[in-house]
Amino acid sequence: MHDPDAELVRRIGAGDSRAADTLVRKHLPRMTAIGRRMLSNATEAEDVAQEVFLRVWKEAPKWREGQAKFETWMHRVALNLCYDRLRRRREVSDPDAGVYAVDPAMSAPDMIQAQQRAAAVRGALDALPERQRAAIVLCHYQDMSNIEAATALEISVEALESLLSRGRRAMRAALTGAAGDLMGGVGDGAA
Amino acid sequence: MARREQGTGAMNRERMTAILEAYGAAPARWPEAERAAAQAWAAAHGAEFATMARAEAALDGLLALDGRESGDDAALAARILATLAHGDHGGDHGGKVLRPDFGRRAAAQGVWRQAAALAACAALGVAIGFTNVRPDEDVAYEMDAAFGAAFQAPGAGFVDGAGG
Repeated sequence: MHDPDAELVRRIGAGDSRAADTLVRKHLPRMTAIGRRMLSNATEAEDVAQEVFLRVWKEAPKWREGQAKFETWMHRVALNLCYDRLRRRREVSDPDAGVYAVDPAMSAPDMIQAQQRAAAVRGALDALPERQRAAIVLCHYQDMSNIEAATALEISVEALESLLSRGRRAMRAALTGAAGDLMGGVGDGAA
Repeated sequence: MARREQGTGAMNRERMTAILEAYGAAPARWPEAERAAAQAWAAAHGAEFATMARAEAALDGLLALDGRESGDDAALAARILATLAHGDHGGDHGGKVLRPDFGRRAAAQGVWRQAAALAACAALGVAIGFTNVRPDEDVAYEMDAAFGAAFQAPGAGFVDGAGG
């Protein structure tokens, strides 16, 4: 298995700050993106991303190439950190969850419609059970292969497909039931 | 962890349906091992496939509306790198901290010079408002079954966040 980050990880393990700089800038957008979608909170997503790279620095000296792609492990760490935060959040309400800026260049009516549609999609995604949401985030938004996503989730490919199917089915149902039927009348009796 | 190696069987309607329901209507997201067979099946069953894929294509389009990628990653990257340079986050580097000119600097360097560099990094970390550089204290650590083999384990081995 070729790991495109193997050399960077080796150098980071030796304390090379330029390699750390390169790895952070290469993977930071994907690490923050997974946190944003799992947590619906930009600040917490940044905290998770930062923690992932602290773990990278800590564990890089022990990494052995060939067992798994380093980026897949980074996703696993990010997911676990998200799960921990979600578990703690269940005990305390989070008033900042789901707060995101919209494109200021849009006209007011377009912005309202886009906001409503995007909010409905975010709401449907956020309402999924954590592992279904994680499966969709990894496969749809992080563009991971089924094998990489299954590895990151520590499940089989069959289990991943089950999570994906159930998650997408729940989203179709939620968006079909949303005002205006965002599925355009095709949500029922899918595929 | 058991893994099914897919793509060895012939494509049929049942499997095509399962692929669509799990991965959506975009072939780029279909399992690589089955993609060619699935695309061939779709081409051979044009009208039937279009009906099967319609709802999933609609959902794919809606999922694309969830634009949560944006953020000031440059500022965050600077904060993370300053934190790493700060050097108080643990790690198995034998006490080394990240150095901008690692690999070129002579091994024997004055203690005071290193201390000054550390102090500067610490000041930078404070100046940009970063206050919580320690790994999350509430996160339990455990051996990760899937990735444990990917780390050399001189003692504790690989650990990561525990998850829920």
